[in-house]
Amino acid sequence: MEFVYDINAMTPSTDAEILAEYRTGRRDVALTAFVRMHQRFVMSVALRHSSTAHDAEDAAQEVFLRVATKLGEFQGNSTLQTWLYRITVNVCTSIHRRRKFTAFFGFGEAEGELDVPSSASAPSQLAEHNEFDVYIKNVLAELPPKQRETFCMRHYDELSYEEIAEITGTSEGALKANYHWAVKKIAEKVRSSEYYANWKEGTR
Amino acid sequence: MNTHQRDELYEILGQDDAYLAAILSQNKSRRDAEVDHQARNLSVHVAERLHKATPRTWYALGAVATSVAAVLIIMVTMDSTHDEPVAQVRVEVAPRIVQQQATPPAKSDAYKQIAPKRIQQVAAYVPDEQLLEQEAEQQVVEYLAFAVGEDGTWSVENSDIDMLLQEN
Repeated sequence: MEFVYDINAMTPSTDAEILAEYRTGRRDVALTAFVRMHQRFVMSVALRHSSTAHDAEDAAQEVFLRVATKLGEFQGNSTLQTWLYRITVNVCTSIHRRRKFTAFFGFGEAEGELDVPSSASAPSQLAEHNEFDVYIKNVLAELPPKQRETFCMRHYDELSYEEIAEITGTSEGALKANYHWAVKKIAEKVRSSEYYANWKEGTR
Repeated sequence: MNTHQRDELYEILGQDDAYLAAILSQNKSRRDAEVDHQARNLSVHVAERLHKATPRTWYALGAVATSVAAVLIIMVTMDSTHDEPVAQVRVEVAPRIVQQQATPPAKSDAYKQIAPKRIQQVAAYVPDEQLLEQEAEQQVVEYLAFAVGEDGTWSVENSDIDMLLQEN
């Protein structure tokens, strides 16, 4: 008789299972599963709300450390993703304040000092892509905050309007309008940039 | 990017500008790679910090408990030093009351050492020169009856009785 050991059967795979696991005392298992399930989302939000990649990493770790102590207190009035989004934004804001404070008094690392660009492409392409990605970041920074956040959640985090509405507390209609205007503005900026003309010429 | 999102993007940008939609899709893919890169060791780092945080928390709690205990000990010690003068006053007051009640004439030290309270009680009456002899005798008898303990033993020596009789 063959004994099949299915490790996935022992790992909680949904928020409800993770919470149940946490409350029954298997906290390490629950937290590991929780971090793996939500780490991309938290990191994505953290990267958007932090000035450097280093700060984003710090923030993401801080978020999960806070969650580790408070997961048992989660009431379930909202989804875990909504809860995580709020914690992440709060942590990023406090880290940003701390950095400004330390920079003001002249101790700690300067802002942007530890920003580490990361990607995996050929060097020439990498430079061009990084340049364009920085350009897109600047374009996003010029958008009104609601349009920017809606675009990022929809485009980068692939959330549904229903999920974004729960997180931001905005109606789905308003979110669709925000996304529409954000895309229009980005397109307008990109079309008028040198990148667009160069790439179009290159493809002809 | 899922098909629903791509369709939505094409709809907003217009079908003739599929190129721009492709550029934004590529930008998203690169950003996904960046997020994956940043998040790749997150669970390991979180686990490390969680295990580091626990002893630190206990150390902090231990330090707080120690300082609270130290403060309590100091407070208790200070209270007891404040109480000491009060206790001394009480000790001083008690003998003074006894002396006022007794007011015995000058007696030898040996007399004071033996059954001091009872002698003093009787002695308080005995020196009164106005008392009649009979009453004095009666008091001596009462004293003797009083001096006999419940178990029938004497708590007064013969010298005391002689002394009492001589005084009366």
